[in-house]
Amino acid sequence: MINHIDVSSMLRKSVCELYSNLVTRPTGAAVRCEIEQELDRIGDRALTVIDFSHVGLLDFSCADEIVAKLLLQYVSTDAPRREVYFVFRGISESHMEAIETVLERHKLALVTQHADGRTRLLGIIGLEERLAWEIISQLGAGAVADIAEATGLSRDAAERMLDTLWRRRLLIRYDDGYVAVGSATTRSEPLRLDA
Amino acid sequence: MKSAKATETSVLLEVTSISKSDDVHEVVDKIQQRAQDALVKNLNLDAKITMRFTMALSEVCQNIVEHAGRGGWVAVQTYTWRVRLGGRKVVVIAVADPGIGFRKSLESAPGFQRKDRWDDGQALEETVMRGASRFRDPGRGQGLAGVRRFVGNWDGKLSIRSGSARIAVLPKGDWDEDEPLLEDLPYFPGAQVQITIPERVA
Repeated sequence: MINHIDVSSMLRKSVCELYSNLVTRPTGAAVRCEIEQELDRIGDRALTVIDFSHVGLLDFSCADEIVAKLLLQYVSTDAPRREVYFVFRGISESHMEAIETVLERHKLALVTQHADGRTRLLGIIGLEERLAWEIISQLGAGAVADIAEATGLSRDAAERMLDTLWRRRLLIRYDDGYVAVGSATTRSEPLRLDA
Repeated sequence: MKSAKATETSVLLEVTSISKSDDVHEVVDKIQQRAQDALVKNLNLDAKITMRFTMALSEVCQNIVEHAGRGGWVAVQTYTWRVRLGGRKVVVIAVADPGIGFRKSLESAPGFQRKDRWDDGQALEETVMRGASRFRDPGRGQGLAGVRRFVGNWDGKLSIRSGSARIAVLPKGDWDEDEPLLEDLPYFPGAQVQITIPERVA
């Protein structure tokens, strides 16, 4: 199922009912812990929308704690904490600088979704990987052969590319195919990852 | 905060004590309400600056909480300069703490190794220009780099004094003729940070 986490609510729940700005490292760490507890409750595979719509200011320390440190636990190529995929919504222009800075610092990438449903990648990602992700995103979903054909890659190269994007949690792997993370949140039917 | 050349001051944030994370939240909440008018209407700056300005304020206040080892103070004020900038207005964030200072903070890093030349000036260069931090966490050290980018984007000036040195990130425009690094200054325990953003003129 797709879960929705409102970051502003997490802030009010974990730090102070009156705060609307994500500033200071202790605040960021407290909000991340609250998000992690929420994720712990929703099973081993999950697609989660992290919503910044009601967040005022986001500083570098909070972006590092809430975005980078959260992602690092779930996109680790060696031992990810769990199979969790994230879509970030409500990222405003003023949040962007802090988020892009921390993604760059940790060589991470994420999927962000605009109000009109369009998705795009933010952060550090190779040109070929980005292109492949965009093509898969347009396709919505597909098996390795479909994606190899659409991207013009050999089957082996397509498999490697898909595996890389999956490990970075930018694609969801299911049965014999893949779906781009952002596409999954715009499907009319809720996507069940535990199927 | 005082200047012989300054007149017509306006206080955006009175001298406020900072010693814990909650103090930073309160300062940020307070300044957001007041900064929009001061920066956009009075200094003719783009509306985008309000959030960036508040971020910079938050970062320099956090330096006190994270690194000083004791509390400090922050104040924000606008001035109209008579000589420099030909009578233009500026907004100034001033932060000071009597803590351990930049050099001792870096020296407390696990595994810290003193370089051949190591002094207050080097510590300021490492921190401000290269994002060094006493923490091993690679996510640290981004705050002052962000502040540096902020002042660069708005033709502002950042200066930080700690120990016997003072480093300055100077504006691209010609309104300030300061030196990028001053050393052998009278010793100041802790740190003084000043951010100056000038009014935009057509």
